[in-house]
Amino acid sequence: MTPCPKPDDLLAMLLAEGALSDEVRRHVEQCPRCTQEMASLREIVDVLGSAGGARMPAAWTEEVLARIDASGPWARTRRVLDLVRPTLPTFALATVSAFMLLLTPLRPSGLVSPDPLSLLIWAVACGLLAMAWDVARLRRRAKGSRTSP
Amino acid sequence: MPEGPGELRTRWLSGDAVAFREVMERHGGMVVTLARRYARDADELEDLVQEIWIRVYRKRHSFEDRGSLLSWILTLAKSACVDAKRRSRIYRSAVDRYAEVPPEGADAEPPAGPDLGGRAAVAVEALARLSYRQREAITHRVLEGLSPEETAKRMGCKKGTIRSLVRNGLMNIRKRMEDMDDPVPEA
Repeated sequence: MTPCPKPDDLLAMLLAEGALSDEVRRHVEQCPRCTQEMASLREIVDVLGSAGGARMPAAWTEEVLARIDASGPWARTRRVLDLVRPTLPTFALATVSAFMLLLTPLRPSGLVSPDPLSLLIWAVACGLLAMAWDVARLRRRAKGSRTSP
Repeated sequence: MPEGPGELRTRWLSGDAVAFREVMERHGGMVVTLARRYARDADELEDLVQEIWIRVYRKRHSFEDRGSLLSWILTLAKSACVDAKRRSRIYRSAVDRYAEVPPEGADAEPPAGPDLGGRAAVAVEALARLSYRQREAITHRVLEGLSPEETAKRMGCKKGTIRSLVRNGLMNIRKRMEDMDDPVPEA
């Protein structure tokens, strides 16, 4: 029998790397030591390959993505926008209603001057107040639904 | 044509959430297998795996583009596992001091996720503990299936060197697997 090939040659054979001579292949098939060495290397490669081919539970992936999303640099801004967005109609309605009301004689003339900019500022202030009330209402409702069984 | 590791890496580095999901799906098994060596129960394993991935995401800009993504992930994973084990030891010693606790793992649920047996966990842990170059050579050549030429180009060395690095790395992993009854080394 020919002498045992170098360990690097066995590895090359295992990883199907390049062409080895038929002489080396025949030796490995016949030599118990080389066969055992090949089996041992193959086991490690197979074990690593099985770990590489395994999958993480999908729910864990989603949880990681949710945690990253919740901790990003814009996460706080997004949370505020999510809270405020449903109250935009309230803001719009309250602003327009206040503006219309301020155009009528019901306007407290001692407090609000009749120029358009002043009227607009007061109307927007009323809109913001209504919006804050709506945000507080929605938060109370969300808190109630979280605590109820 | 399926996307190669290079394209996925580029998209992931730009912060693409879809690419990050693909990275988790592609390498999640290795991470879970490694973390299983360090977690005592299902909850601890899930927490640890999530902590590893969040660390990977936050540190993505420190990844060198020429290296193996899996090898880099394993380095961070090993570091997170060691940190978690240290925290757990400090916590347990504090609890033991003030309360009588049931024996370790008495009521613990078996960890969820892929269970490939103890040998896979030992092999992945041994891979994570290899020298940087041996780990890079094995992940490129054996796990990512790069050709010897491509691996040599990425690592900036000759093909013969790659072969030696892979062989020595596999030998080290084998040695670790032979001693697999040893407890997890302390940090």
